[in-house]
Amino acid sequence: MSGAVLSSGEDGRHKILVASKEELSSPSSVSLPPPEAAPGLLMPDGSINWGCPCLGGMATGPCGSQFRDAFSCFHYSEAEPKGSDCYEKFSIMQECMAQYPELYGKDDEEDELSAAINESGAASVSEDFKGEASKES
Amino acid sequence: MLRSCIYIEGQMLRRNEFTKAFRILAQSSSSQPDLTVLKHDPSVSSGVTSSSSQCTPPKFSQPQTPPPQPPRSTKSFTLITALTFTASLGGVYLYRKMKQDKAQEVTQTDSDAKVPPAEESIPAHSSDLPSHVQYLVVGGGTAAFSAMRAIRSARPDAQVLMVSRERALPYMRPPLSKELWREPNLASTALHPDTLSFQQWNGRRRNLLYEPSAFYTPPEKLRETASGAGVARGWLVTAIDPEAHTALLENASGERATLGYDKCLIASGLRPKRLEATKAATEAGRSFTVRSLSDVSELAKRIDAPVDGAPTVCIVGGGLLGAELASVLADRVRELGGRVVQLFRENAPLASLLPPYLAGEAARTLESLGVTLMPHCDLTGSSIEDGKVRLTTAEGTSLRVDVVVECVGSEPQVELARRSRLETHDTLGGVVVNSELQARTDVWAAGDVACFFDEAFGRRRVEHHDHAVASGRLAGENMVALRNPKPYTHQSMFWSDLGPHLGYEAIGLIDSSLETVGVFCEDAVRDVKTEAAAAGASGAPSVAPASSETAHDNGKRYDRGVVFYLREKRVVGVLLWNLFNRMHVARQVLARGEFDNLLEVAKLFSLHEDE
Repeated sequence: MSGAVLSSGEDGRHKILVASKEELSSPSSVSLPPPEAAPGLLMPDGSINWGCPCLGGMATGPCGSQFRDAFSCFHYSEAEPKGSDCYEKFSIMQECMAQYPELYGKDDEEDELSAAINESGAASVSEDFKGEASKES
Repeated sequence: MLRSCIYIEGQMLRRNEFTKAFRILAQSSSSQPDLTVLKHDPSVSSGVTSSSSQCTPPKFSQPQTPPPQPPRSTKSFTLITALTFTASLGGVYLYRKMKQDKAQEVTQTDSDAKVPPAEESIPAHSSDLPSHVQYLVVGGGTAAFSAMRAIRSARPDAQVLMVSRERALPYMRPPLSKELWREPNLASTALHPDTLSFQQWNGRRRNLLYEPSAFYTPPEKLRETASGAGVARGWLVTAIDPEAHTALLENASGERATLGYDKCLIASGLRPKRLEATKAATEAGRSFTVRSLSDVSELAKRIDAPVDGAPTVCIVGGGLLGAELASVLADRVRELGGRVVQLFRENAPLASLLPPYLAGEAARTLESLGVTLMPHCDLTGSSIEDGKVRLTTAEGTSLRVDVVVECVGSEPQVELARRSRLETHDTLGGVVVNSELQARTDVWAAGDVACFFDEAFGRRRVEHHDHAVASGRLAGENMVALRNPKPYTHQSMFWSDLGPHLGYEAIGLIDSSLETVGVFCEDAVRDVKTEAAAAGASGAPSVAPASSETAHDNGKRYDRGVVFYLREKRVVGVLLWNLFNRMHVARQVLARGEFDNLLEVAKLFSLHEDE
C-alpha cells in the first residue's frame, strides 16, 4: 500500500491515508456486484409498479383508481395505435380529474408539451425513443 | 442515492423521469439512474481564525464578504414527446404542476383568508371525524406521508386517515434547516405552507408540501366515501387500544373522539429537547427550536426583524442541526450586519460524528462563513438584560445575544405508546418494533419514533429524512400485505452542506467513537501553513494556526475524500466528504462490509476526480 499513513485521535483510532492520483486511478482489486436497480415504473415481470415515485401522486391521489384503470389499459393495450381501445377508461378518468381542477388543471393551449407534440409526428418520435433507449443500454 | 433524488417522496414527477417512464413503457428497457452532477467549487477560500481551546467570550471580527453562491448545474432535458397518453392525460397533470412551480417564483402571495386561527383544528369538531377508518396513521410527517402513499399505491381504494398535531399538511423537513433560509420574507411565507416553496440546489423551485390540499380527502368526506387519504390537523392521538382496535383523539380545545381502525401506524416523530438553562430566554420569547414550520416562522420573525440593530444569534449545540443552522443563519444575518455564535460542549462542531481532523475542517469552514465558535462551553443559565439575552456558562463566560436557537437533540414522542401500553426502549427511546416494523398485531411504527431491529447492526433508532421515507414506505407495504411482510433492511443516508464549499453525505453508522480510516487524494490535502501564507499574501487578515489543542488535524486541510467507519474490522459506515453521486457505491460497500484493503475500496470512489 503506497501513500502516507497518518493517524490521530486517542490510540490512533482515526487513520488517514493519503494516496497519489496515479494510485487512486488504477483499477481496484475489489469488485462489487452491480447495484440492485430500484424498480422503476415497471417491475421485472413487466407489471406496473404503482409505488414508483415517478408517478407522483397520480396513482395515490383522489383519481388514483381511475388513473390506474386507464394506465393499465394503455400499458397492456395491443391495439393499434396503442391505447386506442381505452377510450372509455380515459373518459372516466378525465371525468374524475375534472372535479379537481386545482390538482389536475386543465389543458393549456400554450402548453409546451402539446406544441412540441404537434410539431413532431408520432412515427419519428418513436424512432427517437429507440435511439435514446439504445444509447442508454 | 443522488442529490437530485434526495427528497425522494417529492410531489412531482420531473419531466425527464416522466419521459423516461414512457420510454420504458415503449421499449421495456431498464432505466438508468438519473445522474446529475452537483458541482462544488474546489477552490476553498479560507478565513481561518484561531479556534479557542477554552470556553472564552467571542471576539467578533467584521463579518466577511458573502461567499459566492454554490454553482448550479442546470439540468438540460430534451423535450421528448409522444404517446398520446402522455399528452392527453398524465401530461396535463404533470405539466400543470411544473407550470405551478414556475408560477410560484413570482406569486408568493399571502392568502390569509383561508387560514383559520392557529388553535382551531381541522376538522374543528369531532363530529366531523369518521368513526372508523381502515388505516389510521398517527402523525403527519414524512414517515406518515410515505406510509400513506405506499398503502394507497398497493390499494387505491384504501381509506387512510393521518392525524397530525401540526396545522400544515405533510411537508418535507430537511429544507427547514437548509434551503428555506435563503428565502426572503420567511417569517410570513412560512405561515402559508400551501404556497411555500424553496429553491433547490439546481435552481428549480419546489413546494414544501408533498401534495397540495386538493390531493387529500377532507376527513368529513372519509365518513361518506370509503376511499381516499385525509389529514386531521391539530388533532392528537392520545392512546390506542390495540385489542379493541380503537384510538382516542383530542384537539387543543379539549374535544375528544373515539375512532375505530383496522390497522394503525405510529409515526409520531420527535420533539426537540429544551434546555433548562435557557428557560428565562424562552419565557421572554427569545429562545427557539427548529423542528416544525411554525418554529421556522417564529425564528425568522425574530431574526429578520430585530428589535434593535443587527441580531446576534447564538446556536447552542454542536451536532448536525446546529452546524447546518449556523451556516445558513450566518448567511442570512450577514446582510443585516448580524452575526452567529455557535456554542457547544465538544471541541469542534460535528465532533461526535466526524473524525477529529474533519471536525476541525468543519470548524474552519464555519468560521470562514463568519460563525464564531465557542467550543468547550456548557450553558448554565440565561437572563434578560436591557432587551438582550445574557447567557452564562459553567466556565464563567457570559455573552449577550439577541436570539438563542437550541439544537441539543430530540426525543421521540412516546406518550401515546406508553398510554397504550406498547413497549418502549429505555436507552434508545422510541416504540419497540420488530424487523418488520410491527409493534403488536395491526400496530406498526416507522420514522424517528420506531426503535427497530436492524438485521445488520442490531436494535436501532434513526433520525433521518431518508429513514422516514424508507421505513414509512415499508411499514405501509407491510400493513397492506396479507402475508409475507418484509424486514426493514434499508440503510438510510443523510446529507448536509456547510456553505458553498463543503458538502457531505453519509450512510450507516456515523459515530466518531468508532475506528475510522479516511482516504484522500494527495491533491485534496493541503498544509494549513501554506494556506495561511497565501491568505496573508493576498491581503486578507493574517491568521494564526489552530492552537495546539485543536490541532487535531496534523496541520492539514482535507478537501475531498472518503471515510470508512469500522466495527470489528467491518465497514459499518461510509462518509463522503465533498464527494457526490457516489452514494450507490457507498451502499454496496456497506452491504458487503468486510474487506482486506480499504485503499482498494477507496479506489471505487474515484477520489482523484474532482467535480
